[in-house]
Amino acid sequence: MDLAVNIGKLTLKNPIICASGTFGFGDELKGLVDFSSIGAVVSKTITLEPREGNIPPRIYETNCGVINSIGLANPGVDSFIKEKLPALGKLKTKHIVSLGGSFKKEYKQLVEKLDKEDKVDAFELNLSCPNLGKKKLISQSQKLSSDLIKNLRKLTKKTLIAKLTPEVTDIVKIAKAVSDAGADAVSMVNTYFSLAIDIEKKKSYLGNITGGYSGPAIKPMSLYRVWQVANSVKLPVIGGGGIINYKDAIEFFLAGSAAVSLGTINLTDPNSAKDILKEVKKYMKKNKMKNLGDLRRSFNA
Amino acid sequence: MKKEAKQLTVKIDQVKKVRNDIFLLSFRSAYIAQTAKPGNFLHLKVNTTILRRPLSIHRVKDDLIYILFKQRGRGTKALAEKKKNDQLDLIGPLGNGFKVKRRENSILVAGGIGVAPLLFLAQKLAKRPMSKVPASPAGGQRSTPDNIILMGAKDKKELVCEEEFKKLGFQVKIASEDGSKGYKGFVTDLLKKRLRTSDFGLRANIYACGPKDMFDQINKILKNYKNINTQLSFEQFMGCGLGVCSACVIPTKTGYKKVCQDGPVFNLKEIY
Ligand SMILES: Cc1cc2nc3c(=O)[nH]c(=O)nc-3n(C[C@H](O)[C@H](O)[C@H](O)COP(=O)(O)OP(=O)(O)OC[C@H]3O[C@@H](n4cnc5c(N)ncnc54)[C@H](O)[C@@H]3O)c2cc1C
Ligand SMILES: Cc1cc2nc3c(=O)[nH]c(=O)nc-3n(C[C@H](O)[C@H](O)[C@H](O)COP(=O)(O)O)c2cc1C
Ligand code: FES
Repeated sequence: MDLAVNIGKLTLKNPIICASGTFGFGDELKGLVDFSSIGAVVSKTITLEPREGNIPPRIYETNCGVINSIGLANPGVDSFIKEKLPALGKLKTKHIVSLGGSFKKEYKQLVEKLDKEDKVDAFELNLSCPNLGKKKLISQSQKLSSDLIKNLRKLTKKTLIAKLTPEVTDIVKIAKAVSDAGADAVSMVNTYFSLAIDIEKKKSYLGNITGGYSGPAIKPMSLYRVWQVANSVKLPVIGGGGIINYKDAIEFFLAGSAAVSLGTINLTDPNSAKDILKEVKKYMKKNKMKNLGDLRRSFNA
Repeated sequence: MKKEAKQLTVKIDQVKKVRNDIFLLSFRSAYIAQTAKPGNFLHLKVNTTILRRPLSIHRVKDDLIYILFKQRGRGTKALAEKKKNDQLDLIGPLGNGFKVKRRENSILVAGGIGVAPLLFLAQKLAKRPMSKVPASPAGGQRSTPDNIILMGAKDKKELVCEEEFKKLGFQVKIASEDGSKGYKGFVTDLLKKRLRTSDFGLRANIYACGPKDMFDQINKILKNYKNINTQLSFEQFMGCGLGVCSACVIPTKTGYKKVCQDGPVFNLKEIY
């Protein structure tokens, strides 16, 4: 059985990706996690300057999902290069570094600083963080997304993945725009805008008031958007949003994902990638599928 | 043994109701017993919730591990309904834990269910060897340092573990907000009195666990006693419990710190 998958120039040994923000910057979990069964790890989003993040509390669990408002807390790119990167090459997985910022200039400087680093296998551009207090996310605008990617495309040969927000009227238009601008893949979805109120205190549960919604609650909406995009752009789609077991993962492959990403479930089970991979293999064997293409094409809507 | 968190599946030995909504859960784990420090917590998987729930190690007896918890919401309800021989998935031991001071006297301050991690701490404090305690400026004498716990809660139903602390040789002082047991008022009033009326406190370390309001009061009181080393065990909503998601931060004087990794125990001077 062949589980390898190409995302731009990058080849992953299997299609299970640990999503940004739920797996640290690299090797923090090495005592607990078997990295050899993870296709790739996406780092926490890194910004040019260190960021403290939002006012706590930063996480709240609803009946079937999780709202977070971390606010891109990260040590900044220089500290990442000095303190985190050196350890990464030793792990048996690929490292996709997630980049975030408010302005074109920030993304440009980030790519310039990281392009020469061998241990960075690809870039994921976080165009969709809901926790920055900005009025508009980059991936809510075709023009902003397209201009940014065109710019960055000139600076690097590494694989460029655009991570999109589901919070748009027509996500296919955005996916087409980043595809035309030179992205190698799209990653979707980031979290949905959300709010939860403590009725006793009459206050939001989160220090930042609002946050991004993830986990099982968002799966059907995410799956729908992945299916729409996979059917209308040629780029590989890294699909996810609410996956907690192999059945969820299979649904995302059937909807057209080239690879799948696990977010919230990593917080509960840091080894979920390994468990899900094992079960996906079993499913494929049972269904006599030789590769991921067989799996994807077997959806007869 | 060096502490490294592991993901373990253990079998529940017992879940016992201690009071209306307070439960004592136990299971066997030689690994946790050998590696855990007072103040460490375990991240327990609960079938009815997405995220794990952090709970302190309450007591260790041989390889039996005890957790004392108050039923609050879905997660703790599911834990309270566990039966003997049910499996429990946990990650631990986690967090930094209390620094157990070898020589000085100790004052433990418990607010409500905050008493949970303090019994394990008391076990360690009680076991400290005889050592030289500077009893008076004139000279030292050999003796075991003295231990006391101040326990406070809303009412007597919330006051648990008194006997356990006594068995460990602790003096126990109790406060309840409604006066149903012990002194009527806050546990921090007991602390204030203690420090004012005896010089015992001046040579003591304070270890506290309870709500944030209690810590604020302790800080106020200790403004007059700057040299008393004080450790506080904090709570915060958690995601991973492993230091990777940055969900569990609290503000400190040097910026946000993670309760799951830099804490849950912080020195009072780091916070205030
Ligand atoms: C390091 C650490 C150690 C802890 N040790 C113990 C312990 O030994 N015994 C014990 O009874 N409790 C302990 N707690 C608190 C315990 O984790 C929460 O009570 C529990 O997670 C609630 O889960 P739930 O699903 O029952 O409630 P939920 O349905 O999640 O919430 C019910 C209510 O509890 C409150 N709550 C939820 N999580 C927390 C939290 N982390 N901190 C404060 N309030 C919370 C919320 O305000 C909510 O209104 C500890 C917390 C931390 C961070
Ligand atoms: C605690 C937390 C932190 C996150 N941080 C980031 C981040 O820094 N950058 C990013 O692109 N996405 C971030 N995400 C979004 C996830 O990568 C993922 O896209 C989203 O949670 C949906 O997938 P899920 O339902 O599997 O979690 C974060 C999610 C969570 C729960
Ligand atoms: S809970 Fe994830 S960093 Fe503390």
